[in-house]
Amino acid sequence: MASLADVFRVLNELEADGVIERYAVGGAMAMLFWAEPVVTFDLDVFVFLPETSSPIVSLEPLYTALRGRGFDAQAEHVLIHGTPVQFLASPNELSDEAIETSVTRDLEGVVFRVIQPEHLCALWLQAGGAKRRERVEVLKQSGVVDEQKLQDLLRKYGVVR
Amino acid sequence: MVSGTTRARPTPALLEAQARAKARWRREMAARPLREKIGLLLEMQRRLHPILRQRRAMQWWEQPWDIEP
Repeated sequence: MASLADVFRVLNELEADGVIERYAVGGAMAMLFWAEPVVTFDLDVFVFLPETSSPIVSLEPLYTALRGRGFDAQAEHVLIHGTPVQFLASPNELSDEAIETSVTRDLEGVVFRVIQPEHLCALWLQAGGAKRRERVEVLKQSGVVDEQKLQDLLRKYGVVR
Repeated sequence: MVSGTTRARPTPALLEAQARAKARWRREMAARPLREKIGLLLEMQRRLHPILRQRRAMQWWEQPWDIEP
């Protein structure tokens, strides 16, 4: 049976092949790597897509590359080794910075990148909603959030709490 | 509330102690091995899925993951 490490291996291959420029795990799964697990049914992966001449973002080249590896996209998710993955093209400058400053972690010898806790908090506060605010509090209580760094991020990107 | 009675309230010291205990538990959870936390997530998915399915229509991808920790 596959493991999450196999999923990260596929993400690394996509990056090595230039299908995506860079990726970082975000969302509820990223929380697992910094704090306690919270239930989720998908893996959010923020990505930089290669530059194209079109101003419209298309995930189709990425889905095509995944189909070539035997992983089919259905609507907005791709089932990779038994794990539904949602690829999120970086929507704004805050998520750009979150991807750029993401850090590496290791699972069964497979290195992958995950968004840092302060950027996760800022992204969740930017998106809003009770569930996301609760996650921010959990991360803070877990002792992994640099409050000053978070405040600086919120100011820099005009995120209202 | 019953008229004429005073409800006892926790002291600030008790509230602080409870908050410290919760934060300590969260830090301990954060420090657990990655594979153990992934195992917990898979277990939560398995337990929550049948409950959610009774309450609402699920998306195709909202399934317990077919992976090992």
